Amino acid sequence: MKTSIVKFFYFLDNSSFYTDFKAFTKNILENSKYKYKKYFDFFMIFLVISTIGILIYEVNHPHLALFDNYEYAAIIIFIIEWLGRLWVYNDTRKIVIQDYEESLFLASNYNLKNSIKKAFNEKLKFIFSPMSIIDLLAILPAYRPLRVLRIFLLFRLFKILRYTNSLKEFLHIFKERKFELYTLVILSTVVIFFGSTIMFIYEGPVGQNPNVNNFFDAVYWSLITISTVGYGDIVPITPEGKFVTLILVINGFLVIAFSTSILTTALAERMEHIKQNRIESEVEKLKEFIIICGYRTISKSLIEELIKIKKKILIVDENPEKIALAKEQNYLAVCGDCTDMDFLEKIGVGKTAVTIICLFENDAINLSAVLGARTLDANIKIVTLVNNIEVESKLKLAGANFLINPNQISAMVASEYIGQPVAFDALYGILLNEDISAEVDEIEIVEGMQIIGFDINQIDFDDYNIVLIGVIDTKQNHKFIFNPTNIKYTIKQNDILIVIGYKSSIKELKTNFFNNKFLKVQDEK
Amino acid sequence: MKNRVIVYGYTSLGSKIAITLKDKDYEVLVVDFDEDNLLKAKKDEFKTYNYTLLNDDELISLGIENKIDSIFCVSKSDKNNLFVTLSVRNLNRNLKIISVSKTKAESKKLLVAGATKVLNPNDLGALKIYRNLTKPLMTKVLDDILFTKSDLNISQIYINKNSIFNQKFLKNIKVHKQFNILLLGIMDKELGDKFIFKTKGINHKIDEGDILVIVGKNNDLQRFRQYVEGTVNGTI
Repeated sequence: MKTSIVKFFYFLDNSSFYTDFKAFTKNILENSKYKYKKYFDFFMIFLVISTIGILIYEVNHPHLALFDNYEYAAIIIFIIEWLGRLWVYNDTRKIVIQDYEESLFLASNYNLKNSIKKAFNEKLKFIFSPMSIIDLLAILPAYRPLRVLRIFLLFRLFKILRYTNSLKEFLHIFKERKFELYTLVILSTVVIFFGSTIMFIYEGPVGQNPNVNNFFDAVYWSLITISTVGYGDIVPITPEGKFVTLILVINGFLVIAFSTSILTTALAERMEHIKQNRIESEVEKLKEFIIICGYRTISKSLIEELIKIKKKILIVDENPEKIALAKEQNYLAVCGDCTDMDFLEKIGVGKTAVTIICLFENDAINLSAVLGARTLDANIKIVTLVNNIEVESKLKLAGANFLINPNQISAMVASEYIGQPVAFDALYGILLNEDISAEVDEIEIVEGMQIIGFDINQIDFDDYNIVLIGVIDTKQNHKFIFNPTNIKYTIKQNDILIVIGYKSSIKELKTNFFNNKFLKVQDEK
Repeated sequence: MKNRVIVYGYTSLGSKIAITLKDKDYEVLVVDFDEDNLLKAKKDEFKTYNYTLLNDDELISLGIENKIDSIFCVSKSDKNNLFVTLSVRNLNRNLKIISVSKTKAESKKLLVAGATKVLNPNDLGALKIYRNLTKPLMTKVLDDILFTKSDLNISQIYINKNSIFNQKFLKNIKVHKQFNILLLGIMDKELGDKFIFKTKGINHKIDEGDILVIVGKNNDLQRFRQYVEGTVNGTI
């Protein structure tokens, strides 16, 4: 018997269907980052609200059998959900297997009961957790003989908390501010107790105040007064009672001011956290995005260019003010330390980020970020700024793919410029996107293009108003062949043609590559 | 005669410019008002002058009116750069003035003051990264043509009266193909001081004062130039 049970657990552990299904259930119930959880949550919220809606409707409307069935269906779903939560809370099979293997290892007699007990205790822990109790209370009113319990239907509203993250965050505030809230509760309890006692002593005796008949009335009165609600159904008559009222009113201000400040500051702090979480989950949804570390002037120019070609960008900076600036521009930005590897991992390095660009003024920070990114992901493309030329080799060693030194570039541009300004303007103008009349572009020869296998001289580039600068031969280690029209060059797949011309003419040529129109018209000759 | 240039401000950018120019056989005069920078420049074996250049006498003593080819205003003070740009332009109409600015507003001011070219290291850096991300292979090829001392180069040819291209139409020129040279386009005085790409498809008559822009291997460029028989403007 015992061995067959253990065998059964082993069978479960080996069954990929069982483990996958359990993982799926756990994801859909507990993992807020799971893609399909939100559909499940929406469905459950709808169920809860509709059953409560029925309850409200039935208060002064005739009873409908259809609603009963609906209610039962909802209850069954609630029960299944609760059982599912109970099921995924822990893994009984793992406890059994672990204990069994331990006993094998120690050569002692295996006691199945102990493991089952251990697992059961953990399940009990779940059953008595507040959330589980709310679930159970929401199911309870379905039991007909206990119709009195209908009020517990409202507990279903609490169930909604389960399905919404923001409300959970709100509850967190109470947890975080436990100490302050305790102080507040104790303070107000003491004040209320004193107030109601004094009120009861002076106005309680028969005939003094017709509205204060027992201690509960006194407590009710002091709570209504201290909360500054003040219905006015019970009013003090004696001078002592009036004096107590004054004290309660002043205290009421304090309690409200105190509690409001506690909650608002906690909420504000929590808000930051919530925002951060939101960005992290947003980043997780992004595919193939670029991380830009450091929000500076150079970053802004770069981002503008990248946005134009619809790249997805995440900006990271340590300075919250800069992040605020980036957010003003509607960019996705997150505040954090790029030299911190945990942070880098959190924002998607090693997962969905394809490129990381470090643009800090401080080379040490760049170096650290480069090193961190390279450690997390061997394939990610790393671009970094070099401010000091001596660090260049170190950054390369750290794993940067591309280094950029703005001063170096400016110096080269400047010196080239004074030599031959026109020639320079010509080529660099189009590089800088200044001249829109023509652009340098590359045409990649891809599969399906009819041009493959033809001699490059058979294309009349002049006819397209395109200048062919050269061909990059991908097969031969990206060798660049300048002006291949003078030699016999056969176009191969994956070659890249570098051309200058109008956007439209380049496009035309590209499309013509797919059919035979590119060939020079030879028949006429 | 060697081209003489002034580098105003031996900053990190200024020093890079000075060294690059020296490699290209320019005669570089370094002017700065910062002692440390001057010391650095001396160490790098440049002719140094301790001037602020804020009065015209200093500029004239350096020969700004006729002995200087270009000036780079790259000192650490933006105000000084602007001032020097303005006074140099005032003294000499034809001098090439290259200045640096980190913002667009500042570069506008410099252009108004008379700078020929305003460089923005941030923009240049950003574009370089952008190019590298989008078209890395192409960028490498263009950089080779533009910056490095590789065999391939871009050059310009000034058309004078005796040039064989004088009075010819741009589209009819096919001879460059024999020299393995690409003709990119032309700057025409009649059409304004802007460069026009050959790809624009215009058929324009070339005349005196136009400048042709060509790309090719150094030897071919040399031969082509001799063939055109134009005087050479600028160096490779």
